[in-house]
Amino acid sequence: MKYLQIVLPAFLALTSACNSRATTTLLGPAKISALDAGIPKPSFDAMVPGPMDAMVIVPPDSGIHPDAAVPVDTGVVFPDAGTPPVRQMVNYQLTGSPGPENYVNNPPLDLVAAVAPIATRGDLTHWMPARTPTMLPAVRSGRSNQILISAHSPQGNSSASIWVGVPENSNLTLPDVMLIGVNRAGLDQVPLQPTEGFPTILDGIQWQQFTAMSRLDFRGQIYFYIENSRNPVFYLNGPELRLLPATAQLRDAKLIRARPLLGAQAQRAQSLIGRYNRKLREKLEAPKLSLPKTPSPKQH
Amino acid sequence: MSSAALAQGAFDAQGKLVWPPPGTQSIVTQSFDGNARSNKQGIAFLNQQFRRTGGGSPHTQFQDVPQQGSLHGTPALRMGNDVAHTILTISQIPEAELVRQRIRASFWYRARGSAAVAEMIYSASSALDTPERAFGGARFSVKFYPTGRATDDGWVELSTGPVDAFLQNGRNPNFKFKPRLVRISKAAALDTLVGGPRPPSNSAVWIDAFMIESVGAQAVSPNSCTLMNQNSVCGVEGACFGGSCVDAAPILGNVPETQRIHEEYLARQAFRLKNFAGGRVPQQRAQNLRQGLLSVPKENLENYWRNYNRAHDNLADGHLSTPLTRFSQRLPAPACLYLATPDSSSTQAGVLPMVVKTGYFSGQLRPGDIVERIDNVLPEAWINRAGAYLSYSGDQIGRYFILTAELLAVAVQTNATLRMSRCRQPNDDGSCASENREFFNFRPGALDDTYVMQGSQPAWWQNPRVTCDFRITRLGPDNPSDLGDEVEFADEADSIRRIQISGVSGQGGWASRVRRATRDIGNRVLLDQRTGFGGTFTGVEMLLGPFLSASERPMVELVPQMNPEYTAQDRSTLQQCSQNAGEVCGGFFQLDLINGNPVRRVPNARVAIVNGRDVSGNDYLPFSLKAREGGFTRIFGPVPTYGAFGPILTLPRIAGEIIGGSVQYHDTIFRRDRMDPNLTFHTGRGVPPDVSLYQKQSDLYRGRDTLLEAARAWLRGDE
Repeated sequence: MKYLQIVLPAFLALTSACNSRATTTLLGPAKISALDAGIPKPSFDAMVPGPMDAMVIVPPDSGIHPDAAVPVDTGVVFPDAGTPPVRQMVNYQLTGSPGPENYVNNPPLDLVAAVAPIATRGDLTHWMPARTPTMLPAVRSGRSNQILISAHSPQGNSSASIWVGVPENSNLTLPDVMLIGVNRAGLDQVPLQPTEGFPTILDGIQWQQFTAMSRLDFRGQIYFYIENSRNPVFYLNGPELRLLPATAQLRDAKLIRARPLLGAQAQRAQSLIGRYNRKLREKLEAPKLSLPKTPSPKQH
Repeated sequence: MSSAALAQGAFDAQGKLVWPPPGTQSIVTQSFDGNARSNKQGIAFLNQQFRRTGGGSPHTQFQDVPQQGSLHGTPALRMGNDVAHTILTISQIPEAELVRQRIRASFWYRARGSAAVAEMIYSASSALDTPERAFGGARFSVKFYPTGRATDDGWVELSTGPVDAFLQNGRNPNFKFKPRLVRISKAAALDTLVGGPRPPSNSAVWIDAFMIESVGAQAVSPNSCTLMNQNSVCGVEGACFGGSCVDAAPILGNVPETQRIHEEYLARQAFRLKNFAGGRVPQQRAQNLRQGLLSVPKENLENYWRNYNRAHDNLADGHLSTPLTRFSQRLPAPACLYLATPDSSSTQAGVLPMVVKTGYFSGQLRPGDIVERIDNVLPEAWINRAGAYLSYSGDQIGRYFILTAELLAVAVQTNATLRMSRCRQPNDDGSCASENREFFNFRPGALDDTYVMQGSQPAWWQNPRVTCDFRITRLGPDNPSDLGDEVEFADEADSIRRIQISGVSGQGGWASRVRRATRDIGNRVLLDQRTGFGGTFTGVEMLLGPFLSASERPMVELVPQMNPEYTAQDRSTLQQCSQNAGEVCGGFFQLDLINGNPVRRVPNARVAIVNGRDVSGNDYLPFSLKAREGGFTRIFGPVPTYGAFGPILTLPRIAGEIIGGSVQYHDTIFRRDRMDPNLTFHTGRGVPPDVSLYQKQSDLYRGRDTLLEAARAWLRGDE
């Protein structure tokens, strides 16, 4: 397990006053200077479209003062520390910054869907802060230490990405994040690694992106597998799996090779994937067209 | 969205939204400044009582948002921990401000744990302005979709898009639907309604800048119309409802106002069907789905929905359903019509809709009445034209047969005129002499105006309800309230065991009744599954098991989409992986269909299956019975089954829908045993009948069930 002490909850507002995109910036993470923690980090080729727009503005939160441990909206008025920031309009996207062509089955992490993420222990909570790195909703996990998110495997050079968050004042202990799939060699994994730079802080959550580029040859369904052992509360957001354009020139050195999934971690992952797959095959039913019952005014 | 468009929502020096934007003709604005619960400018809060049971107290439900956090002016509205839904009544807006207006409603939200979703609800009377009316029931609404505008601190704008303020009916000047309620829900609260987890206890959402504005003159005039002429009579924005043109959006559903958001929504739907659908036929057909969905402009809404439904239907994934965007509902059938072979029709059509149960229309219809024409066209053409209301995603060969059962409900909504034929006095053999044949017009919409004129539930919704299960005669009650768990059986003449099911749940009481039905089973079995809602593999096995020999080892292999396609090498790889690691390999799995643990085996039995509307588990069952090695199985029915060979999966929601739709992620290969090299997939092609047969009108007059009689004759060896 790798540890990364977060020293500075940093923002870097890249001012775009001189940029024609001043009113069309995308909401997203700050582009932050590199933080070397001795971890090998992938870097994207210039020709490869990155998952996020690099020229983004993340202004300080305007009047929102999240709880130190868990960002909860209390409705309590806090005095504002300074001059209210000037807002800007941004483009809202239904599918967030990953866009519609995302091979993840459930990018919004909708817990009602059959292809909802599952966790080893405890329930996941769907959680939509005002801002996330991708504009998509997040899930919050308490004591669960392994989480599974499914995708279909594209064939060829692909980029994978997901954001992991913890409450702003916490120390982020980096979880293990990987793609798991089956190829001719058997059950393999592709590790995702934290991207360069400080985490992004949005509305009381510090976010760290994990990415990988790999030449995928998995068959059928694959899985984002996140194994967290230290963070008492953590968030996941914006899983993305894209097939890279055929024109993208990637050096082999930048591609992470699949490697066997071994040991105790393999057993834990297999247990969770098995549970997920058994759940998927339960129903041989007609599509339901009926509506839910009207809620009672006394409850919801 | 262009920079210019984004800039329309300019902010002032304090970062507050300049709102309403200059030039807006606002009818109602509410920025929730000051006392948020006050009745201002035609808006009131209807639902003080929608709160978490036992949690909080009413005065904490709505709180003001800190001034600096609001989007416009001073505080916004905060829907806090205890508030699941906020229902605004807007019925107090002076009528003069809405007459002949086209309006647009919008507001902004800022998620604080949950997003907001909303609908604007039309109804005909303020007497119906109750909180419960904001959820389901027979009424009309438009959904608020994201406009594409947001702020960099997380405010998101939603709007209904343009819609006529009044839905008028030219047949009755008193008819007047207008928007009366706006329901704003926490998205997390809707999860609970559809079986999801309870919303997080500390979630909130902020609301600001609610507005209803005029965006021009009413677009649709209340001209008389039919389903067939609505495009020419009602104009681009219109649809025919209750025999009169109205704005299509509250009736059929609206779509995102902003073209970019609309295209993104369709792009995601198309991408996931193209790349995730498991059925091999559906995935091939989905290659051009995106272009197909975009081929009809959303502004032409009736055409758009017809094209949208048909494009999805044509994929032939019987498990596919499109997202449910609003609390609206298909009407139940007021009477039962099935496609049948008429003996006394004036048309040359081979099959036509025939009344089997008269239900609510017992005073007007009789069993055996034939629908010859609807709005002056053949019923099949009319059903195809009603594609904005009707959809069927199974094997399209069965389309006309399946959708005929829903014909009357749409005829009520559109005030269609049915040209009927009736035999006044059938002959003893059930035939009808030409002099005994009479014709009459029937307009079902004229008999119950409560739905089209008031938005109330139609009378037949409650009394009397009929169960339309494609059967002519049945075991058990005539109109059971719940078919899903049904298992009836009886011994008939000639040692025939008749078993009637309406699904293969495999659970609880269903399982114990199937065990009883098969315990002392003989060699002649009539399985009536004319309605088959599916169920589980366990249920399939329980009904298959008695008919297999002890040596048979049939199995199914379920394989997700693969590109390049699944091969014998893949099978070897995945099986090896499964043996080593369990059910974790690529979403691939295989099941032996031999776990039914039958009390008695009759592998040489003759099994006659009578099909009707059969999906999923009720696809697997007839396919597997046909594939068994011993005995004989013959299928009697009008059309193939759905061809939905795989589990059904609900999809995630893209734009705050109520349900995200459903699809299959797998396709199925049937194998005799583990040595069988077969690699053929089946989804999209239903199990066809061996004996293609419809109920005959003449048989109905004689009290004979045509399909059952044919099945019995075969079991006896008469043919």
